[in-house]
Amino acid sequence: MGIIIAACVVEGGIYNFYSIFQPSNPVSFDLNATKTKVDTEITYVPLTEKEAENLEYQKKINQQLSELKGETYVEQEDPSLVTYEGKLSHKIYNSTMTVDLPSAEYVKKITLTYPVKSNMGYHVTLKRAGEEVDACYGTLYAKLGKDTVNTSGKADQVVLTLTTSSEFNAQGAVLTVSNPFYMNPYRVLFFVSIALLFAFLVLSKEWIVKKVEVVFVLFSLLLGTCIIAFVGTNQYSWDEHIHWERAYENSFLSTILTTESAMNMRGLLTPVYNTYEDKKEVATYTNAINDLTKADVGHKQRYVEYKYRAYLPQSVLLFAGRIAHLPFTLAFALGKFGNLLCYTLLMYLAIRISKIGKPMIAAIGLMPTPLFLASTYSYDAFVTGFLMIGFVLWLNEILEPDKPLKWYTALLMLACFIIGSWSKLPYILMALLLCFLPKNKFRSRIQEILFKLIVVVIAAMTLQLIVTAADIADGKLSKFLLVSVLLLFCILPKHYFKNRRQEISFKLLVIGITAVAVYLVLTLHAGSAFAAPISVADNIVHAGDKRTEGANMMQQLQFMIHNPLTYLGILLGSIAKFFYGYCFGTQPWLLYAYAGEFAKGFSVVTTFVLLGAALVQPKNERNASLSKSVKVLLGIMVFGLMSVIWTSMYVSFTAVGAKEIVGVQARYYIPFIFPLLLLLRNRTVKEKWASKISEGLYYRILFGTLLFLLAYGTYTFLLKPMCF
Amino acid sequence: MKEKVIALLNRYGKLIVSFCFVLSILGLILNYAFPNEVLSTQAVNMKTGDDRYLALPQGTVVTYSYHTQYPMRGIQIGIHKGEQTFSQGMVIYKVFRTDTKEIVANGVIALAALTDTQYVYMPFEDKEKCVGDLTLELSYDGGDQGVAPSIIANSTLTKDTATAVNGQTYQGSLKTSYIYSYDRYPLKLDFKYMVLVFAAVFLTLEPRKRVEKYAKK
Repeated sequence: MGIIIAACVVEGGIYNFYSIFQPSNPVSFDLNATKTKVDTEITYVPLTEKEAENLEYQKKINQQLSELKGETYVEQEDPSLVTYEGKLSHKIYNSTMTVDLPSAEYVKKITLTYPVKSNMGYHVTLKRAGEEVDACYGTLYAKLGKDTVNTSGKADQVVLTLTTSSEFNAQGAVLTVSNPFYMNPYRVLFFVSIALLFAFLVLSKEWIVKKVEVVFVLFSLLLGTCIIAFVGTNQYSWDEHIHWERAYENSFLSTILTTESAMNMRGLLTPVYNTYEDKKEVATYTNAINDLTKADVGHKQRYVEYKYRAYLPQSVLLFAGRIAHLPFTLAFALGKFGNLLCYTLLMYLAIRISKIGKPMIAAIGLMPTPLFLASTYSYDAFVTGFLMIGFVLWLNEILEPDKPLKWYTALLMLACFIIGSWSKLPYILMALLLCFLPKNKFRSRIQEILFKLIVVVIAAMTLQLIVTAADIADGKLSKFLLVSVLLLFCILPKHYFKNRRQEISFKLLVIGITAVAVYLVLTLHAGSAFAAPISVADNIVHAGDKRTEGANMMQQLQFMIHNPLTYLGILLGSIAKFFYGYCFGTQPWLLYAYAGEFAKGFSVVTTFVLLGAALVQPKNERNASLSKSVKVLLGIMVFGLMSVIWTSMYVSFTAVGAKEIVGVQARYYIPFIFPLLLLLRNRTVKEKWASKISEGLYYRILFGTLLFLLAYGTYTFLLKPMCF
Repeated sequence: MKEKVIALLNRYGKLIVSFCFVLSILGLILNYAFPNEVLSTQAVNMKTGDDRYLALPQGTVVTYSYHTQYPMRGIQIGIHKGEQTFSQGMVIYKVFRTDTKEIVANGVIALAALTDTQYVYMPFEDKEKCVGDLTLELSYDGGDQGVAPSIIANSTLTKDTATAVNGQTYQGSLKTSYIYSYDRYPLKLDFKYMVLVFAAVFLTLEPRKRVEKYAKK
């Protein structure tokens, strides 16, 4: 309670200081009625090459359309485009108006209300005695017709410059200048959250030492909720509109009702807000057009494709929001909360069950970028969470090499690796770690070989999905593999069974089931497998990311096969060049996608946090150690995954024969940073340094640094630019 | 509580895993037994900007001979009504083997339901028969007097096809898309994973004797 009161005092006293001590009433100016002098300056901005190309393309399309309709083509002239100095240019009108305030007063907010047909930029300058006090830019969205910008300073004049493509008409334009006192709930939420977490770190020593997973949950849920609340309908994460569309579509069973709000989110057409007032305007507008009775009706299959299942936590809460008739903005936030909840739960479990590396998992999970990804529409959090649990289970087994592998642990491990790889198939290579489980984990050599063989088949089957659709008929090799796996059960050793009779019955049953399966598969739809050409879109010959000019999967593969040494050089060069930046730098940890990135200098902090978590081990973990062979194995796996990720981007995203690999993002490294950090565990640091630091202090430094990074990032890149 | 659950899992491990394993195999078999049929459209001659209309008055027959390597589920042909109103008129289509003249598919398209220009899907009932050298025959049965639709063609000479009007070869081709179908097995991957995972898990089960010993403890 004290924290909430303190936050309110900070909000009321500091952020409303000028509203309390230099109060003024809001003043509105009808720019048409006041007959303010408008100075218009015309500038010509030549069209960029791309714009010129697009224009030509559009003309051709219009021409063809007219021909198709049998009409005579008449070129539509765009009045905003003129030929200036021999170049086709945009004609831009910069209309400047100077509004005199009744007296010099503190100006905190300037609101421009102006009904426009297309989005428009404007610039505001505050002046006092002719001197500039403050200046800022704003965007007036046609969908809102109203925009507010934040200013600070005492002024007696406001200079407004509007940038339009036609001559400015002041009809309906109103400028409001104000210095309101208001309690910003987002700032209060932020300060309360930070203060609560800080107080928790200071006061509860036992919890932060013994229940690292609970500390993680508190941090994740509180700060994740802050991110969701601040970012709202702004789409700043990587391809968030695409992830949103998939989550939204999967929140319906088979009939998709896409409202105008949903369409706007899908097409990145929702106005972007950058003030508290705009946020409210956008919410009102978006909620008003979320009418399901006027929705666009689409259809899809009920079955959720494997690559879209990572969106299910988001889809489930979107569905819940819809049936609860929540306003669109709340349901949208609820969908993101589904992602956050799933991530928090998975990471909680990973920390809880891990025998070593709890601080490392917590540090990785609470870095700003992973938490940001978990608080937006994306699949990254889901992938990271499941792979982390799978890896932790494997690690636990490695730490107890003589303890037999339990069936439910094996089931969980395999399930986590498979589920975690659905959206990013190359990560299935992490499952191959199971092939290196010690022999004592199994009861016989045959069981061990069979188990490991099946793991390899699962990985191969998953990787095959990169080039083959999951739901078309199988090829011969795939069927052969499956049947072989079934038949291999016939060589199970006799001690597996109670008596000879049971053994024979079991093996006959396996043979029988396999025979029936083979018969049914071969006879029921023998003619349909590959009986028709698959559509061009599914054809691997044309595969390659359409966003990169010159990308072609097959041609790139041919290039790699013909120039293996050249490609090896490109691959190793890329991995080495980006190693530090992608493992410890700001990009994987301190990047809020399109909302902003911490200064490069902060990489010192991330390196400190990650190395600190890796090198300094808590007391209860100090006895556990990883053998050299395990470390070599982890090193190979990490290097292998890096190679696969870079190669997959070279094949699918980079132009054929390019000397540099493009498209690899640092966040792809997040799922295997924990294994990488485990390589750094070392006895010297453990014995010389770690024992000198008390556990409470260690965890406080660790979580304190994470809290600082999260608080700084959330405030600087999300709260201040969007909700002030 | 945790210990009780673990003891139960140990006790009934083989039963649970075997049950799931058998269920997965059954699921896989059922999945193959009941696939979803999906249509796939292959544009053969859909070049734009050169449309020609072959009038199809009553008594006129337009034929289109072609070859298909895969069994076809149907064909898509452009019908142009020329802004005329049809209340009863129908386009009749027949598909027969070019060599034996055996009819392998037929049907009618009611013109009243079509827009002025529409590429109409003409389904073939028994797709297994619709493979090889085939001829599509189009004619018009008009209940409406004085009006007739047109079939959309262009001047492109498409490979392995021949278009004729009343037996006279036409220098061009009908605008067509071939409709194929293939089966999709939505849960196939899931059941395959389940079969493999439970097979692997089965191998980690403790031998029966050990389980019994553990249970006695």
